[in-house]
Amino acid sequence: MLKATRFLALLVTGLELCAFAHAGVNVPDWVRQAAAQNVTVYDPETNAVVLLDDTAITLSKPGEYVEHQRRVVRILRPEGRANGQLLVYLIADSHLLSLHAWSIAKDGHEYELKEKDFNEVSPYTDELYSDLRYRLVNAPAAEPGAVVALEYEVRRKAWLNQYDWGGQERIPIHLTRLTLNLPPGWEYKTSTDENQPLALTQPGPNSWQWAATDVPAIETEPLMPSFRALSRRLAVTYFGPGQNANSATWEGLGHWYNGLTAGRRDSSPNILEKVQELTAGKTDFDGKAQALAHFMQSDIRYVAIEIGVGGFQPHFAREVFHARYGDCKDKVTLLSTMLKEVGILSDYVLIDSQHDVVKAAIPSSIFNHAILAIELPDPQTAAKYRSVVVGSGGQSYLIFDPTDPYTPLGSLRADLQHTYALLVTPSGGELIQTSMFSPDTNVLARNGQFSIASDGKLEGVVTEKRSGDHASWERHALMSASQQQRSQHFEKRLNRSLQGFTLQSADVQHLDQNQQDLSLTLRFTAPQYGQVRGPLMLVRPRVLGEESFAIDRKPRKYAVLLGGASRVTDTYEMEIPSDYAVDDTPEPARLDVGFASYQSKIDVTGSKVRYWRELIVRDYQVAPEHIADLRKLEALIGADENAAIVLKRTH
Amino acid sequence: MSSLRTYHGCPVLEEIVPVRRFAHLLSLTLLASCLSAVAADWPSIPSEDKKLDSVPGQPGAPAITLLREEVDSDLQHYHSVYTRIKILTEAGKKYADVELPFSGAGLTLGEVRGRTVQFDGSIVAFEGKPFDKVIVAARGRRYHVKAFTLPAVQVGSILDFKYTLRYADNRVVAPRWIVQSELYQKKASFKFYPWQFDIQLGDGTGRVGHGVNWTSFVPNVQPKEHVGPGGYGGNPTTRGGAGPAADFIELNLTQIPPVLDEPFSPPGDSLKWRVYFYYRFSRPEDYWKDEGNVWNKDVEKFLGRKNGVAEAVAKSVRPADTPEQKLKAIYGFVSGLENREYVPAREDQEAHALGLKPNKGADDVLGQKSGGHDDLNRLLVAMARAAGFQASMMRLPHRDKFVYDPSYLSIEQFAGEVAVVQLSGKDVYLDPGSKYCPYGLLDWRYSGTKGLRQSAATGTEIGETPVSTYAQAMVTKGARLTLNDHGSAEGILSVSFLGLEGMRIRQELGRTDEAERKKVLEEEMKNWLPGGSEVTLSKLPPWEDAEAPLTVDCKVSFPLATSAGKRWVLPAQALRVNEKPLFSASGRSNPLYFYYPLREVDEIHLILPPDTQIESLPSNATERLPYAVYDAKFARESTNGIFVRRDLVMNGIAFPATSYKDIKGFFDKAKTGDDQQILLKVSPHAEGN
Repeated sequence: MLKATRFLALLVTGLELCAFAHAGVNVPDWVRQAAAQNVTVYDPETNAVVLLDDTAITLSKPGEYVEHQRRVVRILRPEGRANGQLLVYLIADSHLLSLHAWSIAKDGHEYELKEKDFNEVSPYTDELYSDLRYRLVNAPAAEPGAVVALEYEVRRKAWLNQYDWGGQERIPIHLTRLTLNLPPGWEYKTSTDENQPLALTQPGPNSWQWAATDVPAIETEPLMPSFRALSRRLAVTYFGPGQNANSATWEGLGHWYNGLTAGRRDSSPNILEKVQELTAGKTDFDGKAQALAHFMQSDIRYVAIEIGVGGFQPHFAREVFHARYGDCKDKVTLLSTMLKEVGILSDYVLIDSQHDVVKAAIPSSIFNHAILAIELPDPQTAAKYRSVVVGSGGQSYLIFDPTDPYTPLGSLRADLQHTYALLVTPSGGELIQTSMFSPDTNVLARNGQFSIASDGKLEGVVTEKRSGDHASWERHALMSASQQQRSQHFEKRLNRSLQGFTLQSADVQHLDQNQQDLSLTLRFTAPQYGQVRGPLMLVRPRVLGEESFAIDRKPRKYAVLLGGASRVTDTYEMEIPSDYAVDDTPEPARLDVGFASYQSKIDVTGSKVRYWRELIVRDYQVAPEHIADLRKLEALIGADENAAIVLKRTH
Repeated sequence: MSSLRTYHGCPVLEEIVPVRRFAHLLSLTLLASCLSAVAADWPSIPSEDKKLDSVPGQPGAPAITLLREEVDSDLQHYHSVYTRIKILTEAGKKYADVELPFSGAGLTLGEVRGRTVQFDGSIVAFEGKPFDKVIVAARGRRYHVKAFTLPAVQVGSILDFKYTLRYADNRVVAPRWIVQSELYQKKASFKFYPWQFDIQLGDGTGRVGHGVNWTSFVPNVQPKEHVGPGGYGGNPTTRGGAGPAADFIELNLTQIPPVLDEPFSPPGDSLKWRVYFYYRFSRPEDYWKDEGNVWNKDVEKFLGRKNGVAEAVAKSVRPADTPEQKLKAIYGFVSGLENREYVPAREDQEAHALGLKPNKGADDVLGQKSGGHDDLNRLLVAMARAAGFQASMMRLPHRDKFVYDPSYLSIEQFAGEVAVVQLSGKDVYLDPGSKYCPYGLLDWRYSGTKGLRQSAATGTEIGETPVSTYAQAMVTKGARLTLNDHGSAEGILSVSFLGLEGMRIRQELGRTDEAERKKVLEEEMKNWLPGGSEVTLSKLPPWEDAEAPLTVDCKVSFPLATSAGKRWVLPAQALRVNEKPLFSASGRSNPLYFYYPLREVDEIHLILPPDTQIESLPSNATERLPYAVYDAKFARESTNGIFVRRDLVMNGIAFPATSYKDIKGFFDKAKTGDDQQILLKVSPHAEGN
């Protein structure tokens, strides 16, 4: 993973994160002024409000800046207590210059905390090791009505002459400011979301300030887009005399990344030997690329070690090859190196695994993942693959993620589809957009044949065929499980729809063959599946598969994430008891709301009942103005899944 | 993308200060012998291990521990671990990532060595140093994780790694050997060289001890004690001859099965094969008596500071009160004091500013009107005694973490104290120190377990707390609903949480405000109902009255009936539609363990639309086990209504694995009963969902 600042909730129990008593508390005027402000009356469910968030960036020398932060928060509700935890993040090259905090309790008591009162904490991350740490303190008396404040100065290394400013939080902000102080002769450029203008002033020579007041909170809603996708952003790029505003463009960012990765893709004799071994006998592009891609997915483990610039800069290909592990950019580096040995060129692609974080209007280094763009030799070859992007120069690229062990070459998992990314070419960078695949590339098709006895016992077999992410998720669950765990996995799945069942057998095909659909066959019985009621029997025709989901009735501000384009079908054929006949069936269901559609029908032929349904999702999210349609769809699916046919005894 | 890491347990550092005698007589030979396990070359790999590609009886196992050696030496103050793991599947590669968490205080990590041996015999050495990750550094204490990963790991690779942790010379560490892990182990050996001289306990009591005891939870195999020529713990100068005079205890095992992670399993390490060591400060048969005496003195010292206690009693009770009324009044008074372990934790500065200090006696608790869990329970005992009751304290483990075992001679099993008061000749167990705990109940973690109890006759004795009954943890749901022409139900849902269930909800939401309580409770109830439901809480109940049931009334509406041609089908148990079956696995290895007995009662009164008729109701259903009952009744009610009642009782907490089939079968049948449907005939114009 590329380095990203993570503000994770920390769970620290049983430890004394305490501050010592001080005499002569000195709460600075700027805290008192902020605390004394009249602010907007907020919704009663607002947990806290940021009274002041004031950041000043001063370039101390090229590649280095001092960040000075002042922050004041009033806690409004018990749920806002977490805002009493005050912290500053540091990485290896950061140098903390000063650190201070204060709180003013609801009863007027004042408290002051100095640097020695702060504790050092490492957040839990997925990496084996990261140099990210926090200096953190819990402000005393952080209860509703209290005001807490933090001030710090940190000297940070700038890997890029750019500062990405957030300016929005999960609580409202009364006043937020960013001040940029540059040496004489230096200039800046900004990129931002056009619909969120910020007031700009110049408090002094070589000093510029952006400010906003009454910034609304990004509130939490279920299945909402990521915070980083929704939050306002201002990217400020600065450059000295004679320098380009390099980082202010996608091209410039590409140049920057080229510089960081220079020499990293140099090959070695060992790498060459391995490439020759893997591609022996392979003559075409697909054969060679498949062989090397498979090696990367299966033989190079994902292990992330990020220190300083290592959050952006990959290790040398030969190091990754020797260790047989690396993070996403390491794996891309090695694969690119290996492909080049067989004459296939490729480029880095920097991307974010959450939709809409990378914004076309804001060239910046906010990425959290690296994948590869493999140059395709001709249009005929390109036609064989789905994940193809055409660059501005007409070159077609096959986009591939070597970190994903289960998505085959030619495809891309849903969270990397339909998203902007930076293609880093030898001539710089350009913004590309990956495509949204058709639902037919991500299919879960269940087919079952059953018989029902007169006592309601169901017996039969279901075969699932999975492609796309449906296959990847299942492979991930099964490949990491022992045989016993796999059985439990299938039992859990059946348990959602059946009670008292007996799983007689489970067979999995093509588990480790990513290029093939995954096939799963489950044979089982379920007593009392049909509910016998005197002369009647109620049978739910939808034997397995729960596609309905809960969606709140509250008005929504944000889109609902759907997880990507997909098609799910269920086809169940049941032989009913010879002494029964179908007396009643539910109406077929049918609804198309544009972003998705659902239909089902039941056919009766003699003693056979056939249930079929299909859910197609065409988009990765539903806009808030279409939530009513989503609720309609959910209600229809829920009703259809619970519907029953009524059998009547004939003799 | 996550990389999962293998946890290797670290020694628990005891605060023991050894009194050195003849320490200078430790020979280099002794030193060498103790360090032999650390400095050895890698052991050769037998050909059978090279060929091994699966675990017998465990198809698909991701990896196997071929060899494991742990050496703990309080003579040389180190703990060393050597592990050899073979990777059998892709899923096993995660065992190449190793994390060693330990408190930095007094511990240093020596050299870490590792290598990967490939299937073809080639070797790739681990060449780096572990990364030192500070998890927390606070007030001079540092908690580190040392993390490293082995290179070039593939399916079929054999991983070897070893490390040594060293600690200060004035410390000893009585090890805990957790024998079982999540992997099958072909061979494991453990060795402990205890400190052989006197030891002074660093807890302020000044006690001096000598020698070790251990409690083994390993079936069929016992640790073996090896006594040197001078006799165990004897004076090394009187030992004859040269050579090591080390006494040590070892345990050697083969074919160790893995521990399975299954839901509703007993807590902590209680299922694992393990050996716990401890230094001996009293004879084993006197251990609980001796520790009990120390604790008893501490309790009586606290209770003895009773300035203001009699006055507090006088203000709380009335002369005409019956004994029970008095006790309840005292209970109510103590429960109403600030519970420091429940309110949001105060930082030291704030506590200092408010003048809050640790409580040293009952008088302090009264004076500060505030205390921790044990403080409040001790105050109750002080006040009960002042009111004329016989009252005592009891020290107990937390049943969600520890199953008390008197053969394990360690007071670290205990987590807290409760009060025991004699009322009308019977013991009443009281726990006002647990926020919102009703009178006569204990926080469930203190129930159904053994512990130390004060005794007038013997000082202390081992006692046992009762398990609560199912009537003391109940959830009742009552719904009065009307089904409309569109198949949706509307009406009132009233839910009461009684006893331990009321306590649970109150504790979960007691620290927040009314708006949040309303929001959380509404969400909870929506989760019970079909999708698309609306729930509006009309009024929140009084929160602070722990004795009263917590009753919540809501307006609800939700889609209920689905169309089946000329009929409607509706779930009979409308309040249980989203419940998932409790158990899915067909088999079970671990015993079952529930928190407390519980009863759930649902009653639904449903009025049907005028143009509908009941065609079929589910049959009444009953399932019984000696310790569980499920009962579902369905009846027509008034002119066009349906009455449904569901009653489920689980009246046990601990069951052997052999009971799993019966218990799973019971819950499966209950779920089948819950999934029954009601069939209505409807007129053509009724829509349904």
